[in-house]
Amino acid sequence: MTAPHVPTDRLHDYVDDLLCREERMLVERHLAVCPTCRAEVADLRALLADLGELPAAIAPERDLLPGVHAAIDASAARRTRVQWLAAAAAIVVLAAAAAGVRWITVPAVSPDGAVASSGTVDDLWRHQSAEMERLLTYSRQTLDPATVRVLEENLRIIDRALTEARAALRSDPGNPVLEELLLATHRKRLDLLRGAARGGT
Amino acid sequence: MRGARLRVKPHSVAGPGRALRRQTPPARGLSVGTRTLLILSLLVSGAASTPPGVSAQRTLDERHAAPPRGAVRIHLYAGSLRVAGWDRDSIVVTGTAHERGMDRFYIGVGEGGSKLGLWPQGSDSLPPSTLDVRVPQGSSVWIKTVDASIVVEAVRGGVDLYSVSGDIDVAGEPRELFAESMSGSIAARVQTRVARLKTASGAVELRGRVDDAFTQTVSGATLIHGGAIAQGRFESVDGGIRYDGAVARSARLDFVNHGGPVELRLPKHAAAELSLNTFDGVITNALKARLVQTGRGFKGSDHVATLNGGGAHITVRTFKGPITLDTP
Repeated sequence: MTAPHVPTDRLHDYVDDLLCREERMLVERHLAVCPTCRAEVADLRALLADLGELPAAIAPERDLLPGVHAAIDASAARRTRVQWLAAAAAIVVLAAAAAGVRWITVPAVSPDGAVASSGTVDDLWRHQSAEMERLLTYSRQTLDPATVRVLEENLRIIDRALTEARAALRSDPGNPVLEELLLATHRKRLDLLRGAARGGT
Repeated sequence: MRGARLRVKPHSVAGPGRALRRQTPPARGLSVGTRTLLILSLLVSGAASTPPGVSAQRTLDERHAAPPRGAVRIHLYAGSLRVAGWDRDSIVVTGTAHERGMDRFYIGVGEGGSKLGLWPQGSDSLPPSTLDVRVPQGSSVWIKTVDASIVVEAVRGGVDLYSVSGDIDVAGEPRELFAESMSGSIAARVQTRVARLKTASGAVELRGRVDDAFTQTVSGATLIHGGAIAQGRFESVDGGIRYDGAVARSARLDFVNHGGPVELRLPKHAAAELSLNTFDGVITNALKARLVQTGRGFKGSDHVATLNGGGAHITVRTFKGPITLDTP
């Protein structure tokens, strides 16, 4: 009868050298007779070797920070536009990370760098939050009821703030400070949901 | 390397075959009669003299050689956890655990790093335990707890902490610090390149020398002890944010709040350029700084001020939270 394969997690531990001596010997004993697990270990080691080839850090050719600060100071309006652009890019990245391979409509960016209206970005954040809430469904069941209450209470606070900021933007369209506040509040909502998902057992 | 480690699941490490070293040695070499008498006498004395709960505690004492700059991953479900760096190449775990959780204790130490903890299977819970862990001071520490407080001291590697509802307290010089909780408070007295502190309803307190600081709460209060923060962004939705102390001339500090107050308590000699904007809040200027209204054509109150010739860049943005300028 063939011994069951070593669980993948344990093989990762083996390759990462996180096993104690006794366990390491057990795994090695199994590897000696199991070509499947040996192949998996070889793959993992190859992956680690490839990762090891990567440079620890890539230094920019010049110090970019002073230029970034100067650009930020140059114009409040321009700063806001860059932030919205960054936000849209962040949403795309988050959506890809959360939902795997998935197409998502990116707001049109004109050659001069203008992004679609703040309403579109707002919708994208809403979509992303909804996606994260869906992913949270399982973790939520493993959270303590007191924690769920904390989560729901804080979501209510955030949603109230979002409603107020949206209403204010309707009465004062293009207000860069309101747009910044709306964006910051959206980010906190997503962070809260992500934190709650991390808390599940 | 890191990618491979991230796939390790806590549940898988405490199963049969793991190196469990419990401090409850089996009785050997005793006759059946003697064992029965011993058990009965223990039961009687335990019931008569020991308060409920205490009798169920077991002590832990684990000692292992460890790499000086390895990764240490710790899971603790409930109770309290203290991790301190020391100048020895070994990991020592002491503490007490409820006997119901003893079989969930695990520890594995290899040349690349270590893992230890007390974590339930599936969605079960565990009674509170107390762990005191010594690690080589160059270690990078990663901790997750559900309802256990976390104290980390004198660790010089990266520190990444998460607790659902436990408080987090960090002191020392970690390479970088990431701390997050849902309802626990976070206090950091650190010297580090990067500090990221996030909590929903807990409070945040940051003190120390930080190149790049970021704090975020939803409803919890934030207190920043100023003086040595080169760059910082401090955000809340409804919790108060207070900055208290000096500002370095080259500092860039941003405060963002929706409904909570932002209070800047700056010394009279502070040299800074302030940009204050609130859509529907009130600005109170007890600093006697000359606030100049800017004409950007949008609703709300938008002011700038230059303190002592300018220097640090400070921006405050609120929706309806009041902004206060004052001295410490």
